[in-house]
Amino acid sequence: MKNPVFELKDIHFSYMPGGADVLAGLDLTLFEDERIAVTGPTGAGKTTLLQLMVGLLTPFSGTVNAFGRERVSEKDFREVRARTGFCFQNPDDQLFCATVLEDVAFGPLNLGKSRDEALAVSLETLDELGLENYENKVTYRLSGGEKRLVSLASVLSMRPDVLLLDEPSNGLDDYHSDKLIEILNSINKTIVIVSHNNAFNEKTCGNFLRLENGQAKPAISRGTGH
Amino acid sequence: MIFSDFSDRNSMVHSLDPRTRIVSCFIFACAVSQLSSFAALASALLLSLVLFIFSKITFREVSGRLLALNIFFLFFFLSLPFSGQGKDSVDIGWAIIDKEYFLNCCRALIRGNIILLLCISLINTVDILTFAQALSSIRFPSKLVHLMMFTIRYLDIVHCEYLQIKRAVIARGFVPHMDMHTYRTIAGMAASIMIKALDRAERVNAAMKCRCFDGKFYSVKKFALRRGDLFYISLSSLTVTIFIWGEFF
Repeated sequence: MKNPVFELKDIHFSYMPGGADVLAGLDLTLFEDERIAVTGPTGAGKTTLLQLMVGLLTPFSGTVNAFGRERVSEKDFREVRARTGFCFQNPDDQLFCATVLEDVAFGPLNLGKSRDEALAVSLETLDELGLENYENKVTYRLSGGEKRLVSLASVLSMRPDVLLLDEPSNGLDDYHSDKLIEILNSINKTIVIVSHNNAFNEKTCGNFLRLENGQAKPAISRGTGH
Repeated sequence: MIFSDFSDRNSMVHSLDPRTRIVSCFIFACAVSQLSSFAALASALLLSLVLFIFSKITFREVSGRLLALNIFFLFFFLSLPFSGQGKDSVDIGWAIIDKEYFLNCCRALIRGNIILLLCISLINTVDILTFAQALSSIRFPSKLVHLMMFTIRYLDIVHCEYLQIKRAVIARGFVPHMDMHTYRTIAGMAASIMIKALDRAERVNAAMKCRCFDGKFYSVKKFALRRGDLFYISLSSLTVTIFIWGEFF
């Protein structure tokens, strides 16, 4: 039996105090090397779930265990974030540096790596994603697909144990979508993908969850949950 | 990107270290603002023209900026010389012109043009993000540098959002008139841009937290002084010294 990396128990969350619960008693266990695709209607709390896992949001009740410990404070979650790469739905929210290289090196530098180490790991990550010669490109001039790959590189360069991807196939053409699938299948990490794209989910994940009425249920048939 | 600059060229000025350009521009501007003799101002103007020509920017490209500055000074000329009651007044029939005020206007005009030319040739040749990094490497307050970096990065996105909203209202047949409906629509557009910008700021902050940002920026860019920089620094220090010497001693 593999170790659980994330264990969420009886999570309740709502954006407004007293408002309708987005998550109502959600339980989720993510094991090492597991790949889960989370689906569900819009507003079901898929992004909320990812944000709760890295402590960007705090649940009203329930516990979040990550990497073998209960995580409560901001300080606890800093360690979680260092080991969890979170790729946002919109790459423009994530990429803010002038050049691709600087953006990819931003995480490693924050983790205390020296300039040379950070540059080395960033160039290596760009190579792995087939983004050679992208290092001096200006981030805001990239196409949507390129931005997506660079934003993935910017979290992979932190060498995380777990990857959380929010709608990674959004706005990707077939070429970039296939490339992303190929990359995700080549890396050996625990992955949670939140996506509506069933074809994408089936090609990248082994387990499927459906968020409905604030709870996560195993999806019976792949992707759709019906 | 809505910012235009002249950073993507090859010239003697472009080959200087950005830090050298920024600091020298600042020092030159300070020195020029203290000059009052016309001989010194003329030589400073010549110097700024030389730098401008070396930076391979043409007058046509910056004519708009020069025009804006000089129109601003035109208002000085239209008001100040007529408002003095000094001893050196000259009666030109329909008005009395104060000579000292008029000369001050001329000095301000020359100083303004010199400083603008210096900024164009020395600062506008640094791309705006290198500019931010150069500032932080010369120990400029980091909060201001970050504010600038984010403004640059996200102003463009806010601009795109504005265009999106504009297209959306036009697509639904909106034509501005002088009526309540127009005012209400424009107010709604402005509010929506602001709310979107605020939302985005929160998401950007969250994304940075996810990459373990703790308030400190580390730059991967290295700046290095070369022989040309040292030459430029000694030459410009000499020039500034001569200017100040000529002015005050």
